[in-house]
Amino acid sequence: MDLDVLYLADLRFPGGSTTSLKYDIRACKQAGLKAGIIPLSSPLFARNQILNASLIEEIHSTGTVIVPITERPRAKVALLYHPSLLDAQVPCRTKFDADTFYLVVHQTTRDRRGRPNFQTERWSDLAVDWFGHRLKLLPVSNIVRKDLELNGLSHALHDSDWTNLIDPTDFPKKRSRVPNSQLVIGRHSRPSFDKWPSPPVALACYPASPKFTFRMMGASQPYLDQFETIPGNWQILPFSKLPVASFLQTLDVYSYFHSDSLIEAFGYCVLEALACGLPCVVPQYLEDIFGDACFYAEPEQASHVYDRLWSSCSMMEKASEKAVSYVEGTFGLDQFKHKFDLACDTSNVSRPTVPKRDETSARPVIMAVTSNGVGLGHLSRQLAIAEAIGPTVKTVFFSMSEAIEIARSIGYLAEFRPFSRRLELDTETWNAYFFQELLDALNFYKPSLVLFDGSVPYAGFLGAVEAYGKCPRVWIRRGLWRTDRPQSSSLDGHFDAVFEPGELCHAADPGFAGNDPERIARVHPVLLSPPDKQLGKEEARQELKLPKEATLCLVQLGSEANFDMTLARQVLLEFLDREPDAIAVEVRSPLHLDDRTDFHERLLSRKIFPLGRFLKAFDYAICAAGYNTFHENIATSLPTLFIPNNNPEMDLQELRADYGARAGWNLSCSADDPYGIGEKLQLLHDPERRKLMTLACSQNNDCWNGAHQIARQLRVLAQLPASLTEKN
Amino acid sequence: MIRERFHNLGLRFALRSLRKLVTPRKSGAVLLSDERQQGNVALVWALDQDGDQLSEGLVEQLKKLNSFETVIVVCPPRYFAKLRSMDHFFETLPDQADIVRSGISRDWDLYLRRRVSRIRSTWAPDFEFTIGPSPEDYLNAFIDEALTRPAAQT
Repeated sequence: MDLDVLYLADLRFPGGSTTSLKYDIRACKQAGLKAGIIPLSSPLFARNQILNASLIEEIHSTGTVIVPITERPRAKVALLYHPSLLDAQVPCRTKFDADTFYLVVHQTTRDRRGRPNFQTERWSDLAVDWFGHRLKLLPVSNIVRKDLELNGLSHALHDSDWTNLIDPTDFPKKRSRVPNSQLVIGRHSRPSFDKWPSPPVALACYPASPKFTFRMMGASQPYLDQFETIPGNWQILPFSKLPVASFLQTLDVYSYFHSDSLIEAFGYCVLEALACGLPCVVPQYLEDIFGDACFYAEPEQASHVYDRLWSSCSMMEKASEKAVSYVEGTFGLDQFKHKFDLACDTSNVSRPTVPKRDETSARPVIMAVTSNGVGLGHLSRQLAIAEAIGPTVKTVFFSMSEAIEIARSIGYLAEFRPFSRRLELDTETWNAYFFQELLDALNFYKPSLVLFDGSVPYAGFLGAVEAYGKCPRVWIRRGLWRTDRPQSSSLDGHFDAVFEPGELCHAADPGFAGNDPERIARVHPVLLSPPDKQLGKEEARQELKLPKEATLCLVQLGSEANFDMTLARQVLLEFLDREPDAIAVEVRSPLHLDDRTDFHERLLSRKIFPLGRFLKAFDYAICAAGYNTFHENIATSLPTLFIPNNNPEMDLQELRADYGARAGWNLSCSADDPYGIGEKLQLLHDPERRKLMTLACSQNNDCWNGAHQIARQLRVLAQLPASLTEKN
Repeated sequence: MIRERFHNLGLRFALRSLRKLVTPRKSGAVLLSDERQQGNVALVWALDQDGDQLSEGLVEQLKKLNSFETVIVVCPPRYFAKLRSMDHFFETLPDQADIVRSGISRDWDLYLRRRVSRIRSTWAPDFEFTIGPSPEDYLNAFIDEALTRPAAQT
């Protein structure tokens, strides 16, 4: 794999570092150069910090390569894209060859009070020993350059900077303000304390005044709690409440001051404001970066600048034009080729060119670990994700599910280990056993990624993946937890990512599984058989050998291993007696043993897995409200009466069923209410009623791509080869 | 009242001594509960079973093991549901076709031999039975064949 630029970068930064990378890869593509990325994890973030969605989207749309774990790429320029990544705690699992290798320094080595931000004394050794190159530094600005010089790193400095770029087309120019109207002055930044001035300074630079409104996006609650009173002309918005460009459109002037301990390395937020043509009022030291494009003032003088701008429309206009032209001329995407050429300069090559090596090994292995579960939910979701990742990797199932044959029959290598419950073993003994079994399997298969789907990651699981330690691990866990289980949700930190498959009734979820959007990645519902993979009605009936013309009711009442559906079954048989044109079809997995005694001449039985592909064969359904069945039936717009299994060990199925009923997508009835079940089956038998439900279900279109969304992020996280069938 | 207390005390002592008698005797058998460790354990290797139903030979063997407290069958996973309905336990090994199809090139011989060894040690059977080839013969045969066949894809 030959690349022009190889970024070794953390794709989880929420602010300017990531935005600059986003525009770098866009500019790289526009310059006709090929970029690749090796994702790393900075110790600055919690292990399961989510990936930056905007950056992932840019990677996808520009076709930037996430270097597969099995490749050894060769690049003209390799950039370790943040100083926190040149750290003994940051492993890089991919080897590469590069003509030149630089540490891009996005932050000063010390803060204003002299406290070190990084262990710079280790940089040279780590660069040589781990990356095979002498330490060479590319500062993002003259501010950082001066800091590096001051801190004894002049010898490693490259002559040029790796200046941050921006695409002005993403930041439409702000329209002129109405003369004499109130001036809306704003700012945006991460909610961390150092980005915000102390309360006395804030009240000086953002003062109470009838002439100005101060609109601030990203001020945290703990920061605001320091103020005795918040001035009446302050408007506070959470970080990322609006897209940055949209937020900036609501302002007339931009004003950025921060804590006295921070030295901004660049001030990307100011660049974004300038790109919109906003006059910017900022601290004097930023003149090194923004030249005459900004107004410079100390915090207490800032209001004088606002006054001048308020009273002079022409001054505003002039400042606006200067801002835009400065950005276009200095930070536009067309600057990329120049900075790339300077970084390629052979006089600055940090190591003699190495002979080309083309090392490509076999497809990487993923290990999908699932708990036993009562039904097939965990296994079905893992299968959906494995299918979405596609054949560019080898997925091995390592499961406690006694239905593991299902994965094997679909074509996956499947291992089984017995679970503690049926063995009547104490948890500690079983965990010790599972630890040994999983660790041996991990050492054997050498997976590049371990996926776990289950409500609780067992101690044996966590111990084994920790001991193996050579790949990221990911927890897939659906929401709608019935109770708060802090001992489970606190295990998030053992994972590199936590995904919550989408729930249509998310708005009613009590949130026991956790709500932190920075730590839990929410995606669309995960379906093993999304609507575009389903057979048409006629074809599905033909395959299932079902009558072409009859009115067919699908029956899927779950495994019934921990819940009694006898009453629902009795009512169904009575319903069949009453409705001679109705035919019910009970569908079970092929592994299910025939042990039922409720026979009826119009109660047919079929064994199939996965059923999703065939759902269009049916006119309506009576089903338990498990995650997969609920979402697959609604995705198919199949009118369904859901009978929730509300066993305490299950998810909140009754909430899911009732929410859907209120939204008009389905009917819902408790398993112990024979009258309700009978009435609602009768309603389902009415074609007009079914039409209404089908229509309501169909409003949920275009939200069934969860498996592919997870697959896409896993490709980045674990550097998996891209699939030819990858979807957005 | 006092007599009742003495009676309870006596019962407690009696129970304590019983517990001592039932001390686990299979220390490596981590998959056997304390109770199961007291009974007979049979491990049945039925590795080359095919077809949808249990073979006659296996069914016959399982009938003979009716009096065993714990029976574990090592077989393809499609028989798990049936074995569960018979109240047996089960284990499985990846079969030859699965390994070839997976395209995973590793030291399967070592891995599977270690796995067989651990199945034996974690269940610590009193008796072993084989329907078809022994695990060793089974592994010898199929590892040889798997190694001589090209992997499906790498």
